[in-house]
Order: sequence, then C-alpha cells, then structure tokens
Amino acid sequence: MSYIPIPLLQIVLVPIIASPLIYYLSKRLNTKSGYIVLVVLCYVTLLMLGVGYEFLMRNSEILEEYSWAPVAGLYFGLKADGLSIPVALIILLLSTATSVYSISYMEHKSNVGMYFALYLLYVAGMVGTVLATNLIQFYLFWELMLVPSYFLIAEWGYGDRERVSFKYFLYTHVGALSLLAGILATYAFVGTFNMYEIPSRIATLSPSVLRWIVIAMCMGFFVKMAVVPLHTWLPDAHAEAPTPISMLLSGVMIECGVYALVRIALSIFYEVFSGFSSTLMILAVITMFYGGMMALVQSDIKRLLAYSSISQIGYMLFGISAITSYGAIGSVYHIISHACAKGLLFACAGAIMHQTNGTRDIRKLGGLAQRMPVTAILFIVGVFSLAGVPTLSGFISEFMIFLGGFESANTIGKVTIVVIAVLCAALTTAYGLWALRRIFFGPLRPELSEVKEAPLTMIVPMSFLALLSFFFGLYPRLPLAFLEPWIKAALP
Amino acid sequence: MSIIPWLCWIAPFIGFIVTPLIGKKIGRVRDYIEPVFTLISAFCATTLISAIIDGKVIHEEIPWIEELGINIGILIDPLSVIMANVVTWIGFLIMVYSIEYMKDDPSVNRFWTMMNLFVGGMLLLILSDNFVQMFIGWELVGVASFSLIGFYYRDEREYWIENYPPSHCSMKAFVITKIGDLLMLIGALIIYTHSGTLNFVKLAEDLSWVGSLARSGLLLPTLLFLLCGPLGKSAQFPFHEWLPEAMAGPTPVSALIHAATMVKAGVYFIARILPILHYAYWELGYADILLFFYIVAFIGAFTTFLAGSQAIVAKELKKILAYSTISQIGYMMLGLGVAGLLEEYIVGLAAAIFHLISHAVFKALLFLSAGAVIHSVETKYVTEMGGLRRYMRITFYCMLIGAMALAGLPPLSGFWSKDAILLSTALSGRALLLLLGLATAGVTMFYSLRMIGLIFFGEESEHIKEIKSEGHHIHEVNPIMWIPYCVMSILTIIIGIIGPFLEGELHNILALNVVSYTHSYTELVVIRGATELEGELWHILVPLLSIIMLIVGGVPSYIIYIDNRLRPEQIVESSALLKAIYKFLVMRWYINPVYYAVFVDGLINVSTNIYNYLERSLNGFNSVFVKFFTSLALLMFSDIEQRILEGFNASLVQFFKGSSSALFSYMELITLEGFNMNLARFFRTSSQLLRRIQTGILSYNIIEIVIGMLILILFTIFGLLMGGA
Repeated sequence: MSYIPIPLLQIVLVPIIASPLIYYLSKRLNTKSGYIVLVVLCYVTLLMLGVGYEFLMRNSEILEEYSWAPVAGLYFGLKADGLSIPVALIILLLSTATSVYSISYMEHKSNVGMYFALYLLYVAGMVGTVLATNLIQFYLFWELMLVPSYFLIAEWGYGDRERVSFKYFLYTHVGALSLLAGILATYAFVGTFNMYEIPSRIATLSPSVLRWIVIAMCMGFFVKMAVVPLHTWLPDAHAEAPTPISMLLSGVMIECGVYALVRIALSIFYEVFSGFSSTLMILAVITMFYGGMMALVQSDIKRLLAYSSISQIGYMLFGISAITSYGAIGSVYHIISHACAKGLLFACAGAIMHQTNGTRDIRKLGGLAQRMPVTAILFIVGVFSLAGVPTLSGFISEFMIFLGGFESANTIGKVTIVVIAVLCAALTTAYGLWALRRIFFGPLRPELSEVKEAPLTMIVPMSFLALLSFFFGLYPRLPLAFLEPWIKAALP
Repeated sequence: MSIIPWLCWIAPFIGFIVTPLIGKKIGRVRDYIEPVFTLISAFCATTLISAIIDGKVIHEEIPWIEELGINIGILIDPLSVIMANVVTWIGFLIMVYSIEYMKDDPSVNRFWTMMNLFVGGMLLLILSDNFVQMFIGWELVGVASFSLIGFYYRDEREYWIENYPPSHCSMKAFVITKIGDLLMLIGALIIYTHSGTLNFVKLAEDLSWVGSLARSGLLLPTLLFLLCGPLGKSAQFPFHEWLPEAMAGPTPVSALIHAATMVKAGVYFIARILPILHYAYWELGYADILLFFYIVAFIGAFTTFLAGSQAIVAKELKKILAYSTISQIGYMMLGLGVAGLLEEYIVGLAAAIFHLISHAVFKALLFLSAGAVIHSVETKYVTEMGGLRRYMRITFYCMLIGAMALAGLPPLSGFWSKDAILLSTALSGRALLLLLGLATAGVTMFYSLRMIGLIFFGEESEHIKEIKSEGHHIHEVNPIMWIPYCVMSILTIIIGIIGPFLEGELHNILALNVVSYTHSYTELVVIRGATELEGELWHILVPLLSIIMLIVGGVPSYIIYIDNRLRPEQIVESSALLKAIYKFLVMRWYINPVYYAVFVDGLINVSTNIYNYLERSLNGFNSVFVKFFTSLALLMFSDIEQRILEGFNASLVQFFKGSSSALFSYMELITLEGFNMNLARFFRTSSQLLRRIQTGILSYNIIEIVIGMLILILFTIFGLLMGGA
C-alpha cells in the first residue's frame, strides 16, 4: 500500500466525487451507468482489500490525519484497524454486489442517474462512519448516511413512501440528536473529540455523569439499530424502500449502529457500559424474540425480512452486552454474516417481485421453486445462514455470540437468560423455513406459471453473497485475524 | 497423516459437489456411479478395522479455528469403526436399491446429490474427535434429511402423510431437531466455558470440568441440555413427533436416514460420552450423574412403549416401521442408561451397540422390502393390501425374517440384542424399566405379526381387486431391488447364529474407548463380563420372560391377522374401554395435537395479537405525539402568531419580495445567466481545443503520456510527503 497514496481518503472521497459524474453520464447511458458505479466501487473495494492485506502483513493500523478545524482541535482522521477493516470491507462488498443488482432492478424506473449518484453518496457516508477517528467526524458521517437514503426511499420506494421516508429520517435524526448531546457533553468534560484520547481522560470523571452520557449516546445507537421499542421506523422503511436500498439498509446501515456500540460504548466507555450488561442482555433477548415473532406473522415478504433484521440486531446487541471478548467478536462477525445473508434474502425478494410483476404478498405466491430454482436455492442458503447451519457464516457468528454469553453468565439467572437467547434461533429457523415453504414449495399457482428465472445481473450478485456466506463459514480465521487482537486489546 | 480415515468421510462430499455439476450430463450411467462414492467409504471403513484390531487408536487433527482451539480431527476407535461400517455398508446396499427404485423420477440428480451429502455428513459426525466438528456433521445430516424428506416438494397428493404435505413434513423435522440441537449446543458451550476444550479425548483426560460444573450447580442441567440433541435426532420423547412425518420422503431415504443411520447418531453420541460420565460418577463420585443416567434409561423405556403402542394402530406401512424405529431406539437408550447405572458399564454399552447393529440391518431390510411392496401394489396403506404372499415370494420371506428379528424371535439377531438390553436392565435392579421393556416386547411381536398378516395373508383388498381389473400385474420386483434386502436378511440370520458370541466380543472391543486409554480404573471398578455378575438368576429369567411376552403378543395377533378368525374392528367396537384406547393411540397419545396447538397455533396467535395491539399502537404512538405538538403549535399560532407576528411578517415579506425581485432581475437574469452562457461557451470552446489532444498521431500521444506520467509521479511524491508528515 505504500505505493498507492492516501488509500483511506480515496475510499471515502472517490465515491463522493464520482457521484455527480455518474449523474451527468447517466443522461447518455441510462441504466448502463450502473456498470460505471460498479467500476468505481470495485476500485474502492480493492483499495480496502489492499489496506486489509497490509494491516495483516505489517500488523499495524493505518492512520491518515488531516488538519481540519485546528481552532477546535479537530483533525479529519481515517483509521483502518482490526475493527474498522472487516466492517468497512463488508460494507463495500455488499455495496458492490448491490450496484450490479440495481442495474436490472432499475430497468423500468426513471431518473436512474440520480439514483446512482445518491447511492454512491450513501456508500461513502457508511464507510466514512466506520473509518472516522473523532466523534464530530463520526457524527457528520452518521447524519450524512441519512440524507441520500431518505431521498432514495422517497423517490423510488413503494407504498406511502413519502411519509415512510420522512418518518425514517425524523426518527433517526432525533436519535442522532441524543447522540450529539452525548458527544458534546463528552467534549465539555474531557476537552477532546478524538476517540483514542478519550479513554485515558474519562477515568477521573464521576460515574453518574458518564452514565448519562453513555445512556444518551446509546439512545442514538439504539434508534439506528432499531432495538425494541425504538424500532417502529424500520419495518416501514425497509419494506417500502427500493429493494437494493433495502439490502443496504438492513445489511449494513443498521449495523453501523452495532459498530458504533463496539467502537464507542464498549471500548471507550467500558467501565460504565459494562454496568448496564444485565439490563442490555434482557433488552437484547426481548428484541430477538419480538422481531422473530413479528416476522412470523407477516404476509408481506419484505416486512418479514425487515422484522427479521430487528431480531438479528438483537443477537448482535446480545453479544456486545455480554461484555466478553467472544461476545463482541461474535457480534461483529455477525455484522458480516447478516450483511451477506440478509442482503441475499432481500435480493431474492426483489428478484421475486421483479419476475412476478410486483407480487410481494406471500399468500399470493407458492411453488416458485419450479420456475425459479436458482433463486430458491439461494433463498435456502440465506435462511440457513440466519438459522445458524454450519459451513455458513451465521453458525460461526452465533456460536461465538452464545459462547460470549455463557462466558459472562456466572449466576443461574444469567445462564437462564442465555439459554432463552439461544432458543431464539429456533424461532429464526421457523419463520425462515415457513417463508421458504410458502413461497417456493407446494403446487405452482396458475397465475405464476409464466414466471421466468431472474436475470443474470441479479443472479450473479446473489450468488456472490451466497459464496461469501460459505467462505466466512468455512474460513473464519480471516476475519478473526483482524477482530481477535483488536478486541482482546480493547477490553481489559 | 494416514489417508484412509480422511478419505472415508471426504469421498461422499466429492460426490455431493460433482453430482450437481455433471450429473445431468452423463445420463443413466450416473445412477450406477453414485453408489461408488459410498463404496469407497465402505472399503475405507473396513480397512480401518484392521488398523485398530490390536488395541491401537488413531487420532489426528489439522488446525481450523486456532483462536477457539477448534480443529478438524478424526478419532478412530472401536465405536467409530463399528458405526462407520454399519453406515457405509448399509448405505451402499440402499444406494444400489435406489438405482432401480428412483429410476423414473425426474429429479433423481437432486436425490443423489443429497444422499451423498447425507453419507458424508454422517461419516464426518462419526469420525470426529471433537464436539464442534461432530455438530457440523450433525447439522449437515439435518439439512440432507430436510431436503430428502421434502424431496417431493411440489406436494402432490399421493405423497402426503395423512394431512401433512411433504414440504410441511420436512419443515417439521428440521425445526424439531433444531430445537434439540440448540439445547445440545447450550450444553456444549457451558462445558466449553468450564473446560476450555471440546475435544473428546481432552475432555476425558482432564475431568476437572465436571467438578467445576458441579460446584456451579450446573452439572445435571448441562448434561440434560446435552441429552436433548440425541433425543431430537434419535426421535425420542419429547422430540419424537417428526419421525412419522419423515416418511413423506422416498423409501430409500426412509431406510437409510430414518431407520438405519441418522437416527442412530444420538445413540452414538451418548455412547461416546458414556464412559466419561460413568468414570466421573463411579470413580470420582459426582452424584448428579446417576440421576442423569436414570433419566436417559427412563426416557428410553418410556419411548419404547409409547411408540410401540402407536404402531399397533397405524394404517400406513411406513408409519408402522417409523413408530417401530422410535421404539427400538428407545431400547438402545435404555441400554445406555442402565449401562451408567451399573458399575460394569460394558454390559449395557455392548448391548446397546449390538442392538444398534442388528436393528440397522433388519430395519433397513424391512424398509426396502416395504418399498418393494408399495411399489408393486401402488398403495402405502396396509389396509389396502392382503394376500400378497403368492405374488411376491422372495419379498415375503425376507420381510418375514425381518419382522421376526424385530419382534425378537429366537434365534434371529433381534432376540439376542434385545435380550442383552433387558438383561442389563434387570441387573440394574430397576423394576419399572424392565416392565416397560418386557411389555414392549409383547407389543412389538403383536404389531410385527399384524404387519405381516395384513400384507401377505388374508383376502385381497378392494384396492388390489381394482388394480388387477385395470390390467395391473402384481409381481416380484426387479433383482436390483430385492438382492440388497435379501443380502440383509441373510445377514440377519448370520448375526442371529453368532449372536451370543458376538455379544461377548463386543464386550472386549468396546472396552477400548476414550476413557480406557486415558485413565485406569481403581480396583473398585473393574470391567467384568456380564456372566461374572451376581444375579445369575436373571440370565435364565430374562430370556424366559421375553419368550413369554412374545407368546402373549403373538398369539392374539396370529389369531386376528394371520388366521383371520376375528376381525379387529369387531374387537374394538365391542368395548368402550378398547374404543377409548384405540382413539388415544390413533391420536398419538394426543401429544402431536398438543404440540401443534401450543407451539404452532399458539405462537402464531400470540404473535398476531401482539402485532395487532402492541406493534400497531407503538406505530400510532408517533402520530399521537406529532398530533400533540401540532395542536400545541396551532394554539400558539392562533394567539400570538396571528395578532402580533402577522403584521410584522407581512411587512417583512414585502421587503424580501421587493428586494429579491430586484436581485433576480439584475443578478440572475443578467449576471448569472450571462455567466452561465459564458461558462457554457468557455467549456465548449475549451473542449474543442482539448479535443485536439486526441489526435491519433503517435508522437503527440507519446508526449501526452509522458506529461501524464510526470503528473502522476509528482502526485505520488506529494502523497508520500503527506503520508510521511
């Protein structure tokens, strides 16, 4: 990497710069401009892979710092370390696959250039959040993620999209204000925004103050993550968003909240946060079951997957709130698993909608495996990954999350909570298999007898995500090489 | 690193990967090639016998997830070699049978793919040296089972099991076993947090984890959690309801997965950890473990009777065999449980494994011949068969041998193996367990004779008369189909002849296990043979009692079903008590309806209610919130806004309107617009100028390249300087 300058800055800036260019180019190329987006994102992904490779070889993090607002002591910094590299990589991998998927998805839609332009801004926002080194910069990108996604849902979404997107924006924004309050309070007491200088300085502060700061910040994170009861924006937003954006929303954007929880709450405010362990574990179990039970009774396939995301976020919160190294490692690994699996599942849902002229009601589907066998197999892979079937990455992440849970369980009561949490996987299996059965198995409905398999621009990214699921399920040492040293160093 | 044990489990996976890729392209010859993968595994398994014959054990591993200490390893000891041979050879015979049975199915490629996945997963499970790898194999066979039960996923009516379509049956199997698997995983994770390893050999070497669990009060719960996996996979109470529905799959699937092999995985796992737990109790004295053993034995004995009773009234042939499988595995669990209760665990362990082997052979035999019968008469209901022994002589004799082995008629294999289990139960001194075991022996004879009678004796049913009138000719099946089960029936007889000798041999063989080669027992606990134990009375009494039960169960059954002197419907109708019992048995002891009511309908109802009342109102809460603030704002508006601010606003608005229109006309129209025009003109001209760079003239292009490179080099240097700073 010493031969490509400023890789991290490029990773954040190149999509931003390319965004208006794509808009301009799309006037000529229409949906084909998606291929240019693909090229841009491939380039950025390769840069990130290079950064990751260099991190492993040199065993040192990569930091880029630029003077930004010296009067406030602010530096614009981008850091690639053991935690941010895997998360940033999965964001980029999923976004690259989804950009190809968007090409056929946007076939008959208008104003495609604007879509791709906003898409690139959205990706840049997410990656910037993960690579940020100070809290204000982090907050900036956190809010930056909102604007393009708001427009993406409002313009190309389904149903009552204006109201849904506005609700999404407002909800997340209010949560972010709570986060901002925590950030500013931290600055007031500690005098720096830099995430890496804060831990040493907060040791002298009173715990009650810190507790309120952490609560304020966590409110912001929990709204973004859609933890029950702050979750009501998610089912509408994810279900009514255009399907590629649903893939990103469910797959990586809400996981930015999980990343923030690990980066900020767990590693910076460790003492205070660990005091909330039991409460948060119970909250996580509630989220897991609530999301799963709601998913069970949905008849709209995208709403089902949206509630499933809420349940999976519960898994990630569970792992983090166990305050053990394997719990946290498992949760971040679950970011990777869930991005692949949920991205894949939403892609299949979109493929079904695309091929059946917009049918998304499960009650109107049935027997589709006979007409769309490849989609069926890929859907099965997605469901099995969420259910935790071995050789898929979901098994590895769930194994570690639950191991972390049991490591922290030193009383019979806590053991019971972890046991209940593990049993939620049965609920996940149930709603996943039931959806699979109602959509793909059984007799083929006569009105679906002319349905054809999804186009290659959809099948290829879907297969890519499925292969990633297998890869991370069979070769877990690769993400663990990043995560394990970082978490072991971050937790005392 | 020896290749044979690794090849043993890898070969079928090669088949799993290769079949979907080229299977369809090579046509029918693929069907003859597929069993070869399993045959390779079978040869490897048999070769391994000689490898361990002199008391050696093979244990190798390669690293996988070093951070967690989880590696990929193989453990070749007598238990795994016996299981591997049973699985691979029976698997091979069943695959040969499938060549003919599945030949007309359009999706046969998918069948072979998943059968290979199954055998590979099963061998991975058996040959593993640690729990995580075993769990991987465990789940993989679950996936293969899911896909093979739901093989006829289009849910054509002929494949339904009572009211359940195949796609539902596969889901039911997967979810029920998944619950068991998750509970087992919980047990394993708890053990891991106390021991730091999940490797069977290491767990046997250093038993301090048992003490650690006992001190936290978690010993018994953990063992019970661990037990749930085997209960699920082996279809024991309370996880037994999936196996009858698993009959929705094609018959070879039922034979291989749900009778001979996968359902034995639970028995295998308990047998694997039994010596460890036995040592922990008898040598180290952890009292909770005794209660665990009793629970295992009791669940086994109870399930035996539970399932056997349901087989009496089953109308589908494969369902009879399914309930029978659940019942016979109950015997194996009973054997393992009492093995722990006895100081000399070898007695029970050898009995259970002996029954595993003999049951695998005769149950596979019964399923394959059942498939042949169903195939020939085009019905799966025993009530629609009858008098078939004239048409299918070979199948009749094979099935008769299998059924009598199942019932435990001496000198067939089932008699010796069941007897061994009942003897160990008697020696353990638990009367209830012995009672349930003996009672079920009678029940087993009853339903076995019932099955034979309804299929092969008596009058031909309406259904048969119907298909004969349509011109369908009932005849014996193709040799490719009857040779495998004929081989199995010969094997059943052979095992029966060498029965007592085999039992003694197993005592010696299984004495070599994870505990025996990592520990030595003190003098208190000595591994002795059953003949040296007290209670020699039992050696005569138990076989006698079994034979009495055979007569008690056999005579009525003979009278009703073979001699046809009494009609079963009349007997049931004649007494209110019998009617009630009949209803109770047909409704599966009401366990199945209760499960559906609570876990399916109940869950969906609760979730729907929560969705309608809680979720919707949480959503509506937002609008309440918004409405509150809007009305507050409106209130303020009407008062303050309208009176004072409005006037101010009006004049402010006037000012801005005026100035902005002036601004507009001047800046926008003249300046900015003009600027736009100039900008556009500028770009047009400059692009026309710049276009000239693209001359196509090589020398100019070279100059451009050089200039470009210079810029890049400068950029790089700049970047390096920046990075260095």
